[in-house]
Amino acid sequence: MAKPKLESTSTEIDMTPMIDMVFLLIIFFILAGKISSEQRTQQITVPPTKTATKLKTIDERIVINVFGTTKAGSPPRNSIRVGTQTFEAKGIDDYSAYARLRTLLDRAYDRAEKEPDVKNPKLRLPKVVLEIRADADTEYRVVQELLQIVTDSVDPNDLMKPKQVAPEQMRPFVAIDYTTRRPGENK
Amino acid sequence: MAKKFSRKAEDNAVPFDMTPMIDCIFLLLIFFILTSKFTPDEMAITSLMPTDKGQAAAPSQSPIPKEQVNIKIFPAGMTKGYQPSEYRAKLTTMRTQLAGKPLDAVWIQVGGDEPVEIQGAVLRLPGGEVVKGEVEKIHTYLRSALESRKATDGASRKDSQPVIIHCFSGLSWKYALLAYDAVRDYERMTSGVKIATKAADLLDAREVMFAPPRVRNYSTNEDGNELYEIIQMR
Repeated sequence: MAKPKLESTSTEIDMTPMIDMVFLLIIFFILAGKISSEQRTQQITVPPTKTATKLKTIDERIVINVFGTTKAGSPPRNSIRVGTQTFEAKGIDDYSAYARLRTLLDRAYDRAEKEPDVKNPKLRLPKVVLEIRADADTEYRVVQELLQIVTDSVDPNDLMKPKQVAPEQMRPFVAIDYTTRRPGENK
Repeated sequence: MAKKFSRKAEDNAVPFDMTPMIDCIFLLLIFFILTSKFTPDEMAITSLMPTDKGQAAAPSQSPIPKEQVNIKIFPAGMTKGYQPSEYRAKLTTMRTQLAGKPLDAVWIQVGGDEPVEIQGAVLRLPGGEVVKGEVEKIHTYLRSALESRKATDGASRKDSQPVIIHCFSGLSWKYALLAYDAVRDYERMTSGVKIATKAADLLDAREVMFAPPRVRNYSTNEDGNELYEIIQMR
């Protein structure tokens, strides 16, 4: 009597928990995939350092990729990529690429949530982390200029001369992360 | 009668066929697993740019005040006592020999101390003990240099001498970042503060800065001047 009853119950598997899990996994991979591949190109090898901490993906951040010489077939050394836009200087004293990058940063600044600076209350700082993800073999001068551009202290439209504007009109980004890796880890 | 009928309809509705849906979902799952790329081995060093310095000044010709620690990074073999034009000539020879490859032998020097030589090619390796050793070399050198310049009075970290990193602009970025890393590490060891993971952690930290560009008109090859200025510095 008991045998056929058991059989009938075992054929009907409740698939709901499995589907729940699978959906959860899909959502995870959609989101995680976006975070990693949207702003980071694979053609960059970042330099090794000791005190590096984990990347936080929760806060709002803009990733500035700068290419080096490490991988064949990658964009030319010292060219900059933010999202899908590439900025490449045509000559050694061509600053138009920096000017275009600054326009992009201005737009990001205007969109961002801001708070007054502790030391200089006239300045308003965006709650955005700028991540400089420069290849280990990027020329140092590019990073040097980038730091001037992101803090809005030079004018790329005027031969990179110091910008003379009131603090209220400045659009600086001050929270900067440098992307790196641990020397012991393989990449 | 009516009750019986409705129950029948219910019975028909419940076991609908989920197989095609699950097929699709699994297909999507496999697609996303395969296409998503993770970069979990990438990490970050957090920094906070100063906002109380006003606009970045143009490269100044005035002598650098004594009360700051200057970390100088330049191509190996460049010693004091030459003219800008001679440095330029040396650089040109080095660059022709390398044929477009980055300069790999680099000296790091604090003030007038004996410089330490770093091999850039080693730092390019994927990882392992050799890379760790080269990183440790920079850390050890800068640790002892900073230790010998330690303020004797009990000045807070914030008020202690700022550290400025002067890297020759034609070198790779990694040397400047490693110097920055080493100073932060020293600060962490001596003051016991945790590693900064967000910008706000750095509000009371000792100032560590990358020096602003010294020359800009690269088309006229002012790199000799830049090198001269860096090497002369105390």
